Amino acid sequence: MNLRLLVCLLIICLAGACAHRANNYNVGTVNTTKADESKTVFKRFPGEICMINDSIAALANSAQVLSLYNIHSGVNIANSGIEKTNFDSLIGVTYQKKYEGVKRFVYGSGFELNGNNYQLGSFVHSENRFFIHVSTVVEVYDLEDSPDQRPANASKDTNMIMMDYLNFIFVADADLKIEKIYPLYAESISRKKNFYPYYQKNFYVENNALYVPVGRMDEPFKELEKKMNCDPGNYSLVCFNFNRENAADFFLDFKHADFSDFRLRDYIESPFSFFKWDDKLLFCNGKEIYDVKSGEKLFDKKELDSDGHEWIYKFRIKDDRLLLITGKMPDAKEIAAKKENGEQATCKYKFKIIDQKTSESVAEYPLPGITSAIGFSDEQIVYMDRDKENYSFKYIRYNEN
Amino acid sequence: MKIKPALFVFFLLVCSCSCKQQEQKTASFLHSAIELLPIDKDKNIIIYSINPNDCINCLYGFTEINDHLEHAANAKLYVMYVEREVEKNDLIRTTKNIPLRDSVNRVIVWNKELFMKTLSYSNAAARLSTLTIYNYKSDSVIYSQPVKYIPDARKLDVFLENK
Repeated sequence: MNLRLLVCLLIICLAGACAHRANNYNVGTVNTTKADESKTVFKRFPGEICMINDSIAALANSAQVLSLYNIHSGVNIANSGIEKTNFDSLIGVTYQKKYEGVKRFVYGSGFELNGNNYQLGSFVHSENRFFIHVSTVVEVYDLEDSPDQRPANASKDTNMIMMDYLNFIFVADADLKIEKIYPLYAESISRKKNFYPYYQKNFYVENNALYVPVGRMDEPFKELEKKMNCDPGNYSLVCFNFNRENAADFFLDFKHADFSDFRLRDYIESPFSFFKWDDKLLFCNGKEIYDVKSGEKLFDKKELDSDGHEWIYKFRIKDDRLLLITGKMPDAKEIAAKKENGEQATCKYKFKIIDQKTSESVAEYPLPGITSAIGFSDEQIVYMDRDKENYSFKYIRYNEN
Repeated sequence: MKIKPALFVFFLLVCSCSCKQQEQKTASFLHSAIELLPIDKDKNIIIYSINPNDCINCLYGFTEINDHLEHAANAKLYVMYVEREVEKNDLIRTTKNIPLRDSVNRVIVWNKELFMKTLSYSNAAARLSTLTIYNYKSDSVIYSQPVKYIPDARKLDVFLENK
C-alpha cells in the first residue's frame, strides 16, 4: 500500500515537473535606451536588426549605413565605410570590364541626396563577417544591338535612357571595415530562366554561396491580388557562388515549399528569413520552415492561426525549442475603426515557443505594439521606437527556467 | 404689428449677401502655405515634394528634373518629408547637388504634413516624391505627378508658362 502511494506520488511529481518546464518561460518587461546619433542620424526605422551577441546589434540605418550599437547603452560602436566607395571606378573595373564592347555603363553624379548615390538593402551576419547588399543605378547602353548606342532594351524609335540597377555584395569584417566587393553578374543567368533574385526579401551567405529568394519575371507587380503561379517547377531560392561567376543553382522547388495560398501581394509583403541551425540552413517563407538542401519541412503552417493572417517574422532554434516571432496584420475593419478614432492600426506580434520535436505549443506571449524591424537573440527580443525628438532601443529579456 | 415693405426688402438683401459669402471658394492649403513665402507668385511655382528615404530610382529622377528646371525663372519650393532638427541638419550638411538652404526665389520647407497634403494632388502612393506645378493667382494645380512616372523632364516646360 505504501509502495503504491509512493509510486503515485512520484508520478504526480514527475508530471508536475514536466508541466512546470513546459510553462516556465520568463519574459521580462520592456527596457528602453536612447540611441546615440552623434555619428550617424536615423532618418527612419532600420530595415533590419540583427543581434550579434547579447549586447551588440547590427542595423541597416536609413538604407545608407550598416551600424553597430550597444543596445544596453545606446552607443554607436562602428559604421560601415560604404559611403567612401567611388562607384564610378568600381563599375569601371567590374561591370564595364566584364561587358567591354557589349554594353556601356554611364554613371552620372547620381542623386546624392543624403550625400550618397547607392542604397543598402539587407545584410547578413555569417562566418564572423557582414555581407551587405548594395545597389546603385546607371545608364546602360547596348553596343551590340545598336551602333548608335541606343539604350539596351529600348525600342528602335525611342531615345529613352535605360536605367538599370547594378548589385554588389560588400563584405565587411567584424568592425565593419570593407574587405571585398563582389559584383553580382550571375543574376543574368537566373533571369534567362525567368527568375530574378529578390535581394530585398533577405538573403544568406555561407561558404561563398549566396542564397536569395526569387521572383518570377512573368508575374507583374500590378496583379497583386492574383494567386501565385504554383507550378511545381518553380523555385523558392537561387544560389550564386562568388567563385563561379556564371553559375546559378536553384533550391526548394514548389513540390517541397508550399506557396499554394499565397497571392502575389503575400509573396511581396511576407517576411522571408533564414537561420543556420547546426549544419543545416533553414528558410522560412513566412508560413513554414524548410531545410534548404533537403526540402524537409520543419514547421507546418497549420500550427499558426487558422484564418491565415498570422505570419512568422523571425525564428530561431534553441535547444529543442522553436522560437517564433509571429505577427498578425489588422484587417480592413480594424484599420477603419482605428482610423476613425485617429489611431493607427499596427501588427500584433507574439512570441511563441514551440516544442521542436512534437510541434506542440509550449507557451506564447503577446508583444507590445512594434512598428520597426525586430531583432532576436537566444536571450532577447529587440526593436526600435521613436518620439518627436529621439530614436530608442527597446529590449525584452527572456529565458526558460 | 406691421412690417414695412422697405425693411423687408433690406432684410432679404442682407440674407442673400450672407449666403453668397458662404459660397465663396476658400483658399487651398497650398495657397495658405505659399502666401507668406518670399517667392515670385506671378509665374507658376515649381513644387518638389521630396522624401529623402525614397528609392534611388525616384531620387535619381528627381535630380534629373531639378537639373533641367534649374534655370527656369519660376519660383521653386522644396517640401521636405523631414521634421527632426538633427535630420534636417544632417541633410543640409551631406547633400551635395541640391542647395537645401533658402535663396532668391527658392524656399525649403521642412514639414511632413505639407508633404503629405501636396501628395494628394497626384494620388501618389504613400511618401513618393512628387513634382507639382502650381498657379498661385488662380489657386490651381497645373501638373502633379510622382517623379518616378515623369519620363522626360523636357516635357515639363510647357507647364511653366502662365496660360
